[in-house]
Amino acid sequence: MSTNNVPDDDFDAALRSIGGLPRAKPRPFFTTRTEARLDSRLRAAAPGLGWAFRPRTVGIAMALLLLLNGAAISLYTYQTADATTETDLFATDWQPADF
Amino acid sequence: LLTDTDLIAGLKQGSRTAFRQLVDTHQERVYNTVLTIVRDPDEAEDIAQEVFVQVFESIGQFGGEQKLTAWLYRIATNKALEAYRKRHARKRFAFFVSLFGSGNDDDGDNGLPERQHPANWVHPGVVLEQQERAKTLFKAIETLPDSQKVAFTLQQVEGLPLADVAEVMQTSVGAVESLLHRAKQKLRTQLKTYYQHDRNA
Repeated sequence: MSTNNVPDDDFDAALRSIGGLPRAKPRPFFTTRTEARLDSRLRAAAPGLGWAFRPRTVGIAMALLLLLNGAAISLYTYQTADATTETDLFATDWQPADF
Repeated sequence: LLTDTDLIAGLKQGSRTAFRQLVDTHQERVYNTVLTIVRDPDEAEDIAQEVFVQVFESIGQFGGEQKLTAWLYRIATNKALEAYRKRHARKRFAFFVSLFGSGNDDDGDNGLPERQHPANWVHPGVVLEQQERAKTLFKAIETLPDSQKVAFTLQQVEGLPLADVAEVMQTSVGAVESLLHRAKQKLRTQLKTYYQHDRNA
């Protein structure tokens, strides 16, 4: 008997009942399922198009867009002003005197 | 078959063949250890898979000064204990909710779902005539502090030598002996009533 009044043979028998047990086995195709999990984890970790939607990227893209638009408008305005001046000169040159 | 050194080198290079061999070779020891701690086959499989994925992902941190199996056991026991703690937190929450709910949860004790409270779990390797005795012992093991539970599971259920348990737990053999001694004392005390009642019956 032990100091706790538990019969030693009972406790030892309980210990023996779980000692040297054959290992529990997972369900069949455990390796395949684990590989599938690894694949999905690697796919999720792979760099995708997520970077394109980050606020910083979107901000830079918007700024670039505005800059290009501004440049295009300025260029158009400048060219239109030049064209108007030439047209006016041409029209003045060919204008009848009594007009 | 690759040696442990080649296996680790293969894993570090991201080799799928090495990963497959790792899982094939160690799945039973990882699953068995996790199952003994969490006591639920579905959850044990989920955690065991997670152990192998983590090994693949963090193999770069494996120094090589210890055995690969010891590292695997450590990841497995840590993940199993973490899952066990989460389940207990859910169990406490479910109990709290059941105090105010309809109380018609399914088949567990105290109106708790069986999955959250597997009171009658027994290791599948236990022979039929020993199941009642083993069931009581496993229920008592559940109440041990984490370090004692890990030491007891690795030594008693997995059958690891003390030196290997010490390597897994990153402690000395003397400390493991002390943990096992305290675990057995606690189990003996807990099972006292059961055995006395059993004898009287």
